[in-house]
Amino acid sequence: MGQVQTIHLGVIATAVTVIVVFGILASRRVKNSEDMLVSGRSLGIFFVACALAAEYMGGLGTIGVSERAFNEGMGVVWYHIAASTGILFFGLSFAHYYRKYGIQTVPEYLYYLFDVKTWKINALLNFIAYTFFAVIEVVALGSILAGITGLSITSCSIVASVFVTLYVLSAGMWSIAYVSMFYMGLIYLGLPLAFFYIMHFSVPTLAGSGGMTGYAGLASAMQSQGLDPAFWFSPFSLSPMVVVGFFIGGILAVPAAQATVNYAFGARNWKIARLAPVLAAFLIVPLSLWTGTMGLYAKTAGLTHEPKLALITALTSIPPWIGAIGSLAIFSAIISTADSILFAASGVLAKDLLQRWFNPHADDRQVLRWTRMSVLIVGAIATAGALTVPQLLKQAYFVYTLRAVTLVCVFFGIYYKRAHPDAAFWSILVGFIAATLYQFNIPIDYKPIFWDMHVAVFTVVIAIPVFIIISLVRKWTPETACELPPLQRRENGQ
Amino acid sequence: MSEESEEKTSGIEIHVPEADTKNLQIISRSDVTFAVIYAVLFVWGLILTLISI
Repeated sequence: MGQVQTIHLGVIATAVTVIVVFGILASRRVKNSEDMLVSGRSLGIFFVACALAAEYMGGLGTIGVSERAFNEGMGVVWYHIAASTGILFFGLSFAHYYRKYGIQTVPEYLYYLFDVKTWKINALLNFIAYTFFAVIEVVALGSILAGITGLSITSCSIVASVFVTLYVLSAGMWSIAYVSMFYMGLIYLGLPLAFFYIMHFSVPTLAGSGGMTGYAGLASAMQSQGLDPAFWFSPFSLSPMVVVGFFIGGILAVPAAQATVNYAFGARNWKIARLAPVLAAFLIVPLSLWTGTMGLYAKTAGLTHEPKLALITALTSIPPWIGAIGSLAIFSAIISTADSILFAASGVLAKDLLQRWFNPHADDRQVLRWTRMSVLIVGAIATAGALTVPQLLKQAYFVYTLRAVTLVCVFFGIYYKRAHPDAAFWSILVGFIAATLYQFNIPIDYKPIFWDMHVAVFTVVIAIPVFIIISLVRKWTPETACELPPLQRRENGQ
Repeated sequence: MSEESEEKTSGIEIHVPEADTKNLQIISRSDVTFAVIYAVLFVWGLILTLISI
Protein backbone atom coordinates (compact mmCIF):
# COMPACT_ATOMS: atom_id res chain seq x y z
CA MET A 1 0.00 0.00 0.00
CA GLY A 2 1.48 3.36 -1.09
CA GLN A 3 1.69 6.53 0.96
CA VAL A 4 -1.34 8.13 -0.75
CA GLN A 5 -3.48 5.05 -0.13
CA THR A 6 -2.32 4.90 3.50
CA ILE A 7 -3.37 8.52 4.06
CA HIS A 8 -6.75 7.95 2.36
CA LEU A 9 -7.32 4.81 4.45
CA GLY A 10 -6.23 6.59 7.64
CA VAL A 11 -8.67 9.46 7.05
CA ILE A 12 -11.53 7.02 6.37
CA ALA A 13 -10.62 4.95 9.47
CA THR A 14 -10.75 8.13 11.58
CA ALA A 15 -14.18 8.98 10.18
CA VAL A 16 -15.38 5.44 10.88
CA THR A 17 -14.29 5.84 14.51
CA VAL A 18 -16.28 9.08 14.78
CA ILE A 19 -19.31 7.33 13.28
CA VAL A 20 -19.05 4.53 15.86
CA VAL A 21 -19.06 7.19 18.61
CA PHE A 22 -22.15 8.77 17.01
CA GLY A 23 -23.78 5.33 16.97
CA ILE A 24 -23.08 4.78 20.67
CA LEU A 25 -24.40 8.26 21.53
CA ALA A 26 -27.53 7.70 19.44
CA SER A 27 -28.24 4.31 21.06
CA ARG A 28 -29.05 6.09 24.36
CA ARG A 29 -32.10 7.62 22.70
CA VAL A 30 -33.73 4.28 21.83
CA LYS A 31 -36.28 3.25 24.44
CA ASN A 32 -39.00 1.72 22.24
CA SER A 33 -39.68 0.57 18.69
CA GLU A 34 -40.87 4.00 17.58
CA ASP A 35 -37.51 5.48 18.64
CA MET A 36 -35.74 2.83 16.59
CA LEU A 37 -37.95 2.98 13.50
CA VAL A 38 -38.85 6.68 13.26
CA SER A 39 -36.60 8.44 15.82
CA GLY A 40 -39.56 8.85 18.16
CA ARG A 41 -40.96 11.26 15.53
CA SER A 42 -38.76 14.03 16.83
CA LEU A 43 -36.34 14.84 14.00
CA GLY A 44 -35.88 18.56 13.40
CA ILE A 45 -35.89 20.13 9.96
CA PHE A 46 -32.10 20.05 9.48
CA PHE A 47 -31.81 16.40 10.50
CA VAL A 48 -34.51 15.49 8.00
CA ALA A 49 -33.01 17.68 5.25
CA CYS A 50 -29.49 16.25 5.69
CA ALA A 51 -30.73 12.67 5.92
CA LEU A 52 -32.80 13.09 2.73
CA ALA A 53 -29.97 14.74 0.80
CA ALA A 54 -27.34 12.26 2.00
CA GLU A 55 -29.61 9.32 1.10
CA TYR A 56 -29.99 10.65 -2.42
CA MET A 57 -26.26 11.30 -3.04
CA GLY A 58 -25.30 7.69 -3.72
CA GLY A 59 -22.85 6.07 -6.09
CA LEU A 60 -24.83 7.11 -9.17
CA GLY A 61 -24.78 10.75 -8.09
CA THR A 62 -21.01 10.80 -7.54
CA ILE A 63 -19.01 8.14 -9.42
CA GLY A 64 -21.83 7.75 -12.01
CA VAL A 65 -22.07 11.48 -12.77
CA SER A 66 -18.31 11.80 -13.08
CA GLU A 67 -18.25 8.81 -15.42
CA ARG A 68 -20.99 10.32 -17.56
CA ALA A 69 -19.24 13.72 -17.75
CA PHE A 70 -16.05 11.89 -18.80
CA ASN A 71 -17.99 10.31 -21.69
CA GLU A 72 -20.64 12.89 -22.58
CA GLY A 73 -19.76 16.29 -21.12
CA MET A 74 -21.26 18.69 -18.60
CA GLY A 75 -24.85 18.18 -19.73
CA VAL A 76 -24.77 15.84 -16.74
CA VAL A 77 -25.49 18.83 -14.44
CA TRP A 78 -29.15 18.12 -15.18
CA TYR A 79 -28.90 14.92 -13.15
CA HIS A 80 -29.01 16.69 -9.80
CA ILE A 81 -31.30 19.46 -11.00
CA ALA A 82 -33.75 16.66 -11.85
CA ALA A 83 -33.07 14.93 -8.52
CA SER A 84 -33.80 18.17 -6.66
CA THR A 85 -37.02 18.55 -8.62
CA GLY A 86 -38.04 15.04 -7.52
CA ILE A 87 -37.28 15.86 -3.87
CA LEU A 88 -39.29 19.10 -4.13
CA PHE A 89 -42.18 17.22 -5.73
CA PHE A 90 -42.10 14.74 -2.86
CA GLY A 91 -41.98 17.50 -0.22
CA LEU A 92 -44.73 19.65 -1.63
CA SER A 93 -47.12 16.91 -2.76
CA PHE A 94 -46.68 13.85 -0.53
CA ALA A 95 -44.52 14.28 2.59
CA HIS A 96 -47.13 15.97 4.78
CA TYR A 97 -49.71 13.27 3.99
CA TYR A 98 -47.29 10.56 5.07
CA ARG A 99 -46.46 12.37 8.30
CA LYS A 100 -50.05 13.24 9.14
CA TYR A 101 -51.02 9.57 9.09
CA GLY A 102 -48.47 8.75 11.80
CA ILE A 103 -47.28 5.61 10.03
CA GLN A 104 -43.88 3.95 9.85
CA THR A 105 -43.63 2.37 6.40
CA VAL A 106 -44.90 3.06 2.87
CA PRO A 107 -46.80 -0.28 2.64
CA GLU A 108 -48.55 0.73 5.85
CA TYR A 109 -49.77 3.87 4.06
CA LEU A 110 -51.28 1.68 1.34
CA TYR A 111 -52.94 -0.22 4.17
CA TYR A 112 -54.81 2.96 5.12
CA LEU A 113 -55.42 4.17 1.55
CA PHE A 114 -56.57 0.81 0.19
CA ASP A 115 -56.80 -2.61 1.82
CA VAL A 116 -55.01 -5.59 3.28
CA LYS A 117 -54.07 -7.36 0.05
CA THR A 118 -52.52 -4.19 -1.43
CA TRP A 119 -50.52 -3.65 1.73
CA LYS A 120 -49.33 -7.28 1.83
CA ILE A 121 -48.17 -7.47 -1.76
CA ASN A 122 -46.45 -4.09 -1.48
CA ALA A 123 -44.75 -5.04 1.80
CA LEU A 124 -43.46 -8.28 0.35
CA LEU A 125 -42.17 -6.69 -2.86
CA ASN A 126 -40.69 -3.76 -0.96
CA PHE A 127 -38.76 -6.11 1.30
CA ILE A 128 -37.40 -8.10 -1.66
CA ALA A 129 -36.51 -4.94 -3.63
CA TYR A 130 -34.74 -3.20 -0.77
CA THR A 131 -32.84 -6.32 0.24
CA PHE A 132 -31.52 -6.58 -3.33
CA PHE A 133 -30.58 -2.94 -3.14
CA ALA A 134 -28.79 -3.38 0.15
CA VAL A 135 -26.61 -5.95 -1.65
CA ILE A 136 -25.99 -3.54 -4.55
CA GLU A 137 -25.03 -0.70 -2.21
CA VAL A 138 -22.68 -2.91 -0.20
CA VAL A 139 -20.90 -3.91 -3.42
CA ALA A 140 -20.72 -0.23 -4.51
CA LEU A 141 -19.29 0.68 -1.12
CA GLY A 142 -16.80 -2.21 -1.30
CA SER A 143 -15.74 -1.09 -4.79
CA ILE A 144 -15.08 2.50 -3.75
CA LEU A 145 -13.14 1.36 -0.68
CA ALA A 146 -11.14 -1.05 -2.85
CA GLY A 147 -10.40 1.78 -5.32
CA ILE A 148 -9.17 4.02 -2.52
CA THR A 149 -7.20 1.50 -0.47
CA GLY A 150 -6.05 -1.03 -3.07
CA LEU A 151 -7.51 -3.92 -1.03
CA SER A 152 -9.81 -6.54 -2.62
CA ILE A 153 -13.47 -5.68 -3.33
CA THR A 154 -14.58 -8.80 -1.43
CA SER A 155 -12.86 -7.91 1.82
CA CYS A 156 -13.92 -4.25 1.51
CA SER A 157 -17.56 -5.31 0.90
CA ILE A 158 -17.53 -7.46 4.06
CA VAL A 159 -16.04 -4.67 6.17
CA ALA A 160 -18.50 -2.12 4.73
CA SER A 161 -21.51 -4.37 5.29
CA VAL A 162 -20.58 -5.24 8.88
CA PHE A 163 -19.86 -1.60 9.68
CA VAL A 164 -23.17 -0.28 8.28
CA THR A 165 -25.13 -3.09 9.94
CA LEU A 166 -23.57 -2.37 13.33
CA TYR A 167 -24.31 1.32 13.44
CA VAL A 168 -27.85 0.93 12.10
CA LEU A 169 -28.34 -1.80 14.70
CA SER A 170 -27.26 0.49 17.53
CA ALA A 171 -30.09 3.03 17.18
CA GLY A 172 -31.88 2.64 13.82
CA MET A 173 -33.11 5.95 12.46
CA TRP A 174 -31.44 7.89 15.26
CA SER A 175 -28.03 6.54 14.18
CA ILE A 176 -28.76 7.36 10.56
CA ALA A 177 -29.96 10.87 11.43
CA TYR A 178 -26.83 11.63 13.47
CA VAL A 179 -24.37 10.22 10.97
CA SER A 180 -26.21 11.85 8.05
CA MET A 181 -25.40 15.24 9.53
CA PHE A 182 -21.78 14.12 9.77
CA TYR A 183 -21.79 12.69 6.23
CA MET A 184 -23.33 15.85 4.83
CA GLY A 185 -20.60 17.86 6.54
CA LEU A 186 -17.94 15.62 4.98
CA ILE A 187 -19.52 15.82 1.51
CA TYR A 188 -19.74 19.61 1.69
CA LEU A 189 -16.25 19.90 3.16
CA GLY A 190 -14.51 17.45 0.83
CA LEU A 191 -15.99 17.91 -2.63
CA PRO A 192 -15.88 21.73 -2.91
CA LEU A 193 -12.35 21.68 -1.47
CA ALA A 194 -11.12 19.10 -3.99
CA PHE A 195 -12.96 20.94 -6.78
CA PHE A 196 -11.33 24.22 -5.72
CA TYR A 197 -7.84 22.68 -5.59
CA ILE A 198 -8.18 21.06 -9.00
CA MET A 199 -9.53 24.19 -10.68
CA HIS A 200 -7.08 26.55 -8.96
CA PHE A 201 -3.84 24.56 -8.79
CA SER A 202 -4.07 21.46 -11.00
CA VAL A 203 -5.69 22.93 -14.13
CA PRO A 204 -2.93 25.55 -14.70
CA THR A 205 -0.36 22.72 -14.83
CA LEU A 206 -2.16 20.95 -17.72
CA ALA A 207 -0.46 21.06 -21.12
CA GLY A 208 -2.14 23.73 -23.24
CA SER A 209 -3.87 25.48 -20.34
CA GLY A 210 -1.63 28.53 -20.72
CA GLY A 211 -1.35 28.67 -16.89
CA MET A 212 -4.99 29.77 -16.62
CA THR A 213 -7.16 28.60 -13.74
CA GLY A 214 -10.80 27.47 -13.71
CA TYR A 215 -12.90 26.56 -16.71
CA ALA A 216 -10.88 28.91 -18.97
CA GLY A 217 -7.71 26.88 -18.34
CA LEU A 218 -9.53 23.56 -18.65
CA ALA A 219 -11.14 24.68 -21.94
CA SER A 220 -7.78 25.77 -23.32
CA ALA A 221 -6.20 22.42 -22.34
CA MET A 222 -9.07 20.50 -23.93
CA GLN A 223 -8.80 22.50 -27.14
CA SER A 224 -5.11 21.73 -27.37
CA GLN A 225 -6.04 18.02 -27.32
CA GLY A 226 -8.61 18.41 -30.10
CA LEU A 227 -11.62 18.29 -27.75
CA ASP A 228 -14.21 20.99 -28.49
CA PRO A 229 -14.90 22.85 -25.19
CA ALA A 230 -18.11 24.34 -26.63
CA PHE A 231 -19.51 20.78 -26.64
CA TRP A 232 -17.91 19.38 -23.48
CA PHE A 233 -18.90 22.35 -21.30
CA SER A 234 -22.35 22.80 -22.81
CA PRO A 235 -25.27 22.11 -20.45
CA PHE A 236 -26.92 20.62 -23.54
CA SER A 237 -24.20 18.07 -24.34
CA LEU A 238 -26.64 15.23 -23.58
CA SER A 239 -29.61 14.47 -25.81
CA PRO A 240 -32.96 15.99 -24.73
CA MET A 241 -34.37 12.47 -24.20
CA VAL A 242 -31.62 11.68 -21.68
CA VAL A 243 -32.36 14.89 -19.77
CA VAL A 244 -36.09 14.14 -19.84
CA GLY A 245 -35.19 10.67 -18.51
CA PHE A 246 -33.32 12.30 -15.60
CA PHE A 247 -36.44 14.30 -14.70
CA ILE A 248 -38.80 11.35 -15.00
CA GLY A 249 -36.38 9.23 -12.98
CA GLY A 250 -36.01 11.95 -10.33
CA ILE A 251 -39.74 12.36 -9.95
CA LEU A 252 -40.51 8.63 -9.91
CA ALA A 253 -37.64 7.76 -7.59
CA VAL A 254 -38.55 9.69 -4.48
CA PRO A 255 -42.21 10.02 -3.41
CA ALA A 256 -42.88 6.33 -2.72
CA ALA A 257 -39.38 5.08 -1.92
CA GLN A 258 -39.30 3.70 1.61
CA ALA A 259 -35.62 4.65 2.07
CA THR A 260 -36.38 8.32 1.36
CA VAL A 261 -39.89 8.62 2.77
CA ASN A 262 -38.64 7.18 6.08
CA TYR A 263 -37.36 10.59 7.13
CA ALA A 264 -40.76 12.21 6.60
CA PHE A 265 -42.14 9.62 9.07
CA GLY A 266 -39.47 10.64 11.58
CA ALA A 267 -40.10 14.40 11.26
CA ARG A 268 -41.27 16.21 14.40
CA ASN A 269 -44.42 17.39 12.63
CA TRP A 270 -45.98 17.50 9.18
CA LYS A 271 -44.73 21.00 8.44
CA ILE A 272 -41.14 19.86 8.91
CA ALA A 273 -41.82 16.82 6.73
CA ARG A 274 -43.04 19.18 4.02
CA LEU A 275 -40.31 21.83 4.22
CA ALA A 276 -37.20 19.72 4.87
CA PRO A 277 -37.16 18.38 1.27
CA VAL A 278 -36.88 21.98 0.05
CA LEU A 279 -33.68 22.42 2.07
CA ALA A 280 -32.47 19.01 0.89
CA ALA A 281 -33.02 20.03 -2.73
CA PHE A 282 -30.67 23.01 -2.27
CA LEU A 283 -27.98 20.72 -0.85
CA ILE A 284 -28.22 18.32 -3.77
CA VAL A 285 -28.16 20.75 -6.72
CA PRO A 286 -24.41 21.56 -6.98
CA LEU A 287 -23.14 17.98 -6.71
CA SER A 288 -23.01 17.31 -10.46
CA LEU A 289 -21.02 20.45 -11.06
CA TRP A 290 -18.25 19.27 -8.72
CA THR A 291 -18.10 15.60 -9.64
CA GLY A 292 -18.77 16.19 -13.37
CA THR A 293 -15.98 18.77 -13.64
CA MET A 294 -13.55 16.44 -11.85
CA GLY A 295 -14.47 13.76 -14.40
CA LEU A 296 -13.65 16.13 -17.25
CA TYR A 297 -10.39 17.09 -15.56
CA ALA A 298 -9.42 13.40 -15.32
CA LYS A 299 -10.14 13.02 -19.03
CA THR A 300 -8.16 16.11 -20.06
CA ALA A 301 -5.21 15.27 -17.79
CA GLY A 302 -5.21 11.71 -19.18
CA LEU A 303 -5.34 10.26 -15.66
CA THR A 304 -7.29 7.18 -16.78
CA HIS A 305 -8.95 5.59 -19.80
CA GLU A 306 -11.58 3.97 -17.58
CA PRO A 307 -14.52 6.41 -17.10
CA LYS A 308 -15.65 4.69 -13.87
CA LEU A 309 -12.33 5.58 -12.27
CA ALA A 310 -12.36 9.24 -13.35
CA LEU A 311 -13.40 10.68 -9.98
CA ILE A 312 -11.13 8.49 -7.87
CA THR A 313 -8.09 9.12 -10.08
CA ALA A 314 -8.77 12.88 -9.98
CA LEU A 315 -8.87 12.73 -6.19
CA THR A 316 -5.72 10.63 -5.92
CA SER A 317 -3.86 13.01 -8.27
CA ILE A 318 -4.05 15.96 -5.86
CA PRO A 319 -2.17 16.36 -2.53
CA PRO A 320 -3.06 13.34 -0.38
CA TRP A 321 -4.72 15.18 2.50
CA ILE A 322 -7.10 17.12 0.25
CA GLY A 323 -7.67 14.06 -1.95
CA ALA A 324 -8.34 11.95 1.14
CA ILE A 325 -11.03 14.36 2.34
CA GLY A 326 -12.53 14.23 -1.17
CA SER A 327 -12.47 10.41 -1.08
CA LEU A 328 -14.10 10.55 2.32
CA ALA A 329 -16.85 12.69 0.81
CA ILE A 330 -17.49 10.05 -1.87
CA PHE A 331 -17.41 7.31 0.77
CA SER A 332 -19.94 9.33 2.81
CA ALA A 333 -22.25 9.80 -0.18
CA ILE A 334 -22.36 6.07 -0.88
CA ILE A 335 -22.53 4.81 2.70
CA SER A 336 -25.36 7.23 3.53
CA THR A 337 -27.42 5.60 0.77
CA ALA A 338 -26.43 2.11 1.90
CA ASP A 339 -27.54 2.67 5.50
CA SER A 340 -30.93 4.10 4.43
CA ILE A 341 -31.61 1.18 2.11
CA LEU A 342 -30.59 -1.43 4.68
CA PHE A 343 -32.81 0.28 7.22
CA ALA A 344 -35.74 0.50 4.76
CA ALA A 345 -35.63 -3.27 4.16
CA SER A 346 -35.33 -3.93 7.90
CA GLY A 347 -38.23 -1.60 8.75
CA VAL A 348 -40.58 -3.30 6.29
CA LEU A 349 -39.51 -6.76 7.51
CA ALA A 350 -40.02 -5.89 11.18
CA LYS A 351 -43.10 -3.70 11.03
CA ASP A 352 -45.10 -5.01 8.07
CA LEU A 353 -44.13 -8.63 7.75
CA LEU A 354 -43.21 -9.79 11.26
CA GLN A 355 -45.55 -7.60 13.29
CA ARG A 356 -48.63 -6.62 11.31
CA TRP A 357 -48.78 -9.68 9.07
CA PHE A 358 -47.66 -12.54 11.31
CA ASN A 359 -48.21 -11.30 14.85
CA PRO A 360 -50.37 -8.17 15.18
CA HIS A 361 -50.63 -8.70 18.94
CA ALA A 362 -46.90 -8.39 19.59
CA ASP A 363 -45.97 -5.93 22.33
CA ASP A 364 -43.52 -3.09 21.79
CA ARG A 365 -40.53 -4.91 23.28
CA GLN A 366 -41.04 -7.71 20.78
CA VAL A 367 -41.28 -5.22 17.91
CA LEU A 368 -38.06 -3.54 19.05
CA ARG A 369 -36.36 -6.94 19.22
CA TRP A 370 -37.67 -7.86 15.78
CA THR A 371 -36.45 -4.56 14.34
CA ARG A 372 -32.93 -5.25 15.60
CA MET A 373 -33.15 -8.83 14.38
CA SER A 374 -34.35 -7.56 10.96
CA VAL A 375 -31.35 -5.25 10.65
CA LEU A 376 -29.09 -8.23 11.37
CA ILE A 377 -30.92 -10.44 8.86
CA VAL A 378 -30.78 -7.85 6.05
CA GLY A 379 -27.15 -7.06 6.90
CA ALA A 380 -26.27 -10.76 6.75
CA ILE A 381 -28.11 -11.19 3.42
CA ALA A 382 -26.33 -8.10 2.03
CA THR A 383 -22.94 -9.49 3.03
CA ALA A 384 -23.67 -12.95 1.68
CA GLY A 385 -25.20 -11.52 -1.51
CA ALA A 386 -22.22 -9.27 -2.14
CA LEU A 387 -19.92 -12.28 -1.96
CA THR A 388 -21.94 -14.74 -4.02
CA VAL A 389 -24.19 -13.07 -6.60
CA PRO A 390 -22.52 -9.92 -7.95
CA GLN A 391 -23.26 -10.98 -11.55
CA LEU A 392 -27.01 -10.74 -10.85
CA LEU A 393 -26.87 -7.26 -9.44
CA LYS A 394 -27.09 -5.23 -12.63
CA GLN A 395 -30.30 -7.02 -13.57
CA ALA A 396 -31.63 -6.63 -10.04
CA TYR A 397 -31.92 -2.87 -10.53
CA PHE A 398 -35.26 -3.42 -12.22
CA VAL A 399 -36.74 -4.45 -8.88
CA TYR A 400 -36.60 -0.78 -8.00
CA THR A 401 -39.40 -0.18 -10.48
CA LEU A 402 -41.54 -1.02 -7.49
CA ARG A 403 -40.98 2.57 -6.36
CA ALA A 404 -42.62 3.78 -9.56
CA VAL A 405 -45.66 1.52 -9.31
CA THR A 406 -46.08 2.33 -5.61
CA LEU A 407 -46.01 6.00 -6.51
CA VAL A 408 -48.89 5.42 -8.94
CA CYS A 409 -50.93 3.86 -6.12
CA VAL A 410 -50.09 6.54 -3.55
CA PHE A 411 -50.76 9.35 -6.04
CA PHE A 412 -54.17 7.99 -7.03
CA GLY A 413 -54.96 7.08 -3.43
CA ILE A 414 -54.49 10.70 -2.38
CA TYR A 415 -55.72 12.61 -5.40
CA TYR A 416 -58.27 10.34 -7.16
CA LYS A 417 -61.56 9.92 -5.33
CA ARG A 418 -62.62 6.83 -7.25
CA ALA A 419 -59.37 4.98 -6.43
CA HIS A 420 -60.36 1.39 -5.64
CA PRO A 421 -58.37 -1.17 -3.58
CA ASP A 422 -58.55 -3.75 -6.38
CA ALA A 423 -57.05 -1.18 -8.76
CA ALA A 424 -54.11 -0.66 -6.40
CA PHE A 425 -53.50 -4.39 -5.95
CA TRP A 426 -53.69 -5.23 -9.65
CA SER A 427 -51.65 -2.26 -10.82
CA ILE A 428 -48.83 -3.34 -8.46
CA LEU A 429 -49.03 -6.94 -9.64
CA VAL A 430 -49.43 -6.19 -13.34
CA GLY A 431 -46.80 -3.43 -13.22
CA PHE A 432 -44.31 -5.73 -11.55
CA ILE A 433 -44.93 -8.61 -13.97
CA ALA A 434 -44.70 -6.20 -16.94
CA ALA A 435 -41.40 -4.83 -15.61
CA THR A 436 -40.01 -8.37 -15.31
CA LEU A 437 -41.02 -9.29 -18.87
CA TYR A 438 -39.65 -5.98 -20.19
CA GLN A 439 -36.34 -6.23 -18.34
CA PHE A 440 -35.62 -9.84 -19.29
CA ASN A 441 -37.01 -9.64 -22.88
CA ILE A 442 -39.66 -12.33 -22.29
CA PRO A 443 -40.72 -13.51 -24.87
CA ILE A 444 -39.44 -10.68 -27.15
CA ASP A 445 -37.18 -7.63 -26.97
CA TYR A 446 -39.68 -4.85 -26.13
CA LYS A 447 -37.22 -1.98 -25.96
CA PRO A 448 -37.12 -1.09 -29.70
CA ILE A 449 -40.96 -1.16 -29.75
CA PHE A 450 -41.19 1.15 -26.72
CA TRP A 451 -38.52 3.66 -27.80
CA ASP A 452 -35.91 2.15 -25.49
CA MET A 453 -37.94 3.40 -22.54
CA HIS A 454 -36.47 3.00 -19.05
CA VAL A 455 -38.07 0.05 -17.27
CA ALA A 456 -39.46 2.29 -14.48
CA VAL A 457 -41.20 4.52 -17.03
CA PHE A 458 -42.56 1.44 -18.82
CA THR A 459 -43.95 0.18 -15.50
CA VAL A 460 -45.77 3.47 -14.92
CA VAL A 461 -47.14 3.49 -18.47
CA ILE A 462 -48.65 0.06 -17.79
CA ALA A 463 -49.78 0.68 -14.20
CA ILE A 464 -51.68 3.97 -14.76
CA PRO A 465 -54.28 2.64 -17.24
CA VAL A 466 -54.67 -0.57 -15.19
CA PHE A 467 -55.40 1.53 -12.11
CA ILE A 468 -57.86 3.89 -13.83
CA ILE A 469 -59.77 1.17 -15.69
CA ILE A 470 -60.23 -1.05 -12.62
CA SER A 471 -61.25 1.95 -10.50
CA LEU A 472 -63.88 2.90 -13.08
CA VAL A 473 -65.23 -0.64 -13.39
CA ARG A 474 -65.23 -1.71 -9.73
CA LYS A 475 -67.53 -0.14 -7.18
CA TRP A 476 -67.19 0.29 -3.42
CA THR A 477 -69.45 -2.13 -1.57
CA PRO A 478 -69.86 -3.23 2.07
CA GLU A 479 -67.77 -6.29 1.07
CA THR A 480 -64.93 -3.97 0.04
CA ALA A 481 -65.13 -2.28 3.39
CA CYS A 482 -64.86 -5.70 5.09
CA GLU A 483 -61.34 -5.88 3.74
CA LEU A 484 -60.26 -3.18 6.12
CA PRO A 485 -56.92 -3.77 7.80
CA PRO A 486 -57.03 -5.97 10.93
CA LEU A 487 -56.45 -3.15 13.41
CA GLN A 488 -59.28 -1.12 11.92
CA ARG A 489 -61.57 -4.14 11.85
CA ARG A 490 -61.02 -4.61 15.54
CA GLU A 491 -61.78 -0.95 16.20
CA ASN A 492 -64.96 -1.28 14.18
CA GLY A 493 -65.98 -4.38 16.12
CA GLN A 494 -66.02 -6.55 12.99
CA MET B 1 -58.78 12.30 3.91
CA SER B 2 -61.35 11.00 6.38
CA GLU B 3 -64.16 12.32 4.16
CA GLU B 4 -62.80 10.31 1.25
CA SER B 5 -62.46 7.22 3.43
CA GLU B 6 -66.03 7.43 4.62
CA GLU B 7 -67.24 7.86 1.07
CA LYS B 8 -65.26 4.89 -0.13
CA THR B 9 -66.56 2.58 2.57
CA SER B 10 -70.23 3.29 1.95
CA GLY B 11 -70.75 4.91 5.32
CA ILE B 12 -68.68 2.50 7.40
CA GLU B 13 -66.39 4.66 9.44
CA ILE B 14 -62.67 4.09 9.24
CA HIS B 15 -60.52 5.29 12.13
CA VAL B 16 -57.55 6.83 10.35
CA PRO B 17 -54.90 8.24 12.68
CA GLU B 18 -55.52 11.76 13.88
CA ALA B 19 -53.57 14.48 12.10
CA ASP B 20 -50.87 15.94 14.30
CA THR B 21 -52.08 19.42 15.13
CA LYS B 22 -49.86 20.06 18.13
CA ASN B 23 -46.28 21.26 18.15
CA LEU B 24 -46.23 22.59 14.60
CA GLN B 25 -43.16 24.74 15.19
CA ILE B 26 -40.71 24.42 12.30
CA ILE B 27 -37.50 25.55 14.01
CA SER B 28 -37.06 25.02 17.73
CA ARG B 29 -34.26 26.26 19.99
CA SER B 30 -32.42 22.95 19.69
CA ASP B 31 -32.24 23.37 15.91
CA VAL B 32 -30.22 26.58 16.04
CA THR B 33 -26.86 24.77 16.14
CA PHE B 34 -27.83 22.68 13.13
CA ALA B 35 -29.12 25.75 11.30
CA VAL B 36 -25.71 27.36 11.74
CA ILE B 37 -23.91 24.19 10.56
CA TYR B 38 -26.22 23.97 7.54
CA ALA B 39 -25.69 27.64 6.64
CA VAL B 40 -21.89 27.42 7.04
CA LEU B 41 -21.72 24.30 4.84
CA PHE B 42 -23.88 25.86 2.17
CA VAL B 43 -21.95 29.15 2.09
CA TRP B 44 -18.60 27.29 2.13
CA GLY B 45 -19.64 25.21 -0.88
CA LEU B 46 -21.00 28.23 -2.69
CA ILE B 47 -17.94 30.42 -2.16
CA LEU B 48 -15.42 27.72 -3.13
CA THR B 49 -17.45 26.96 -6.25
CA LEU B 50 -17.75 30.59 -7.29
CA ILE B 51 -14.05 31.38 -6.87
CA SER B 52 -13.08 28.21 -8.74
CA ILE B 53 -14.98 28.69 -11.98
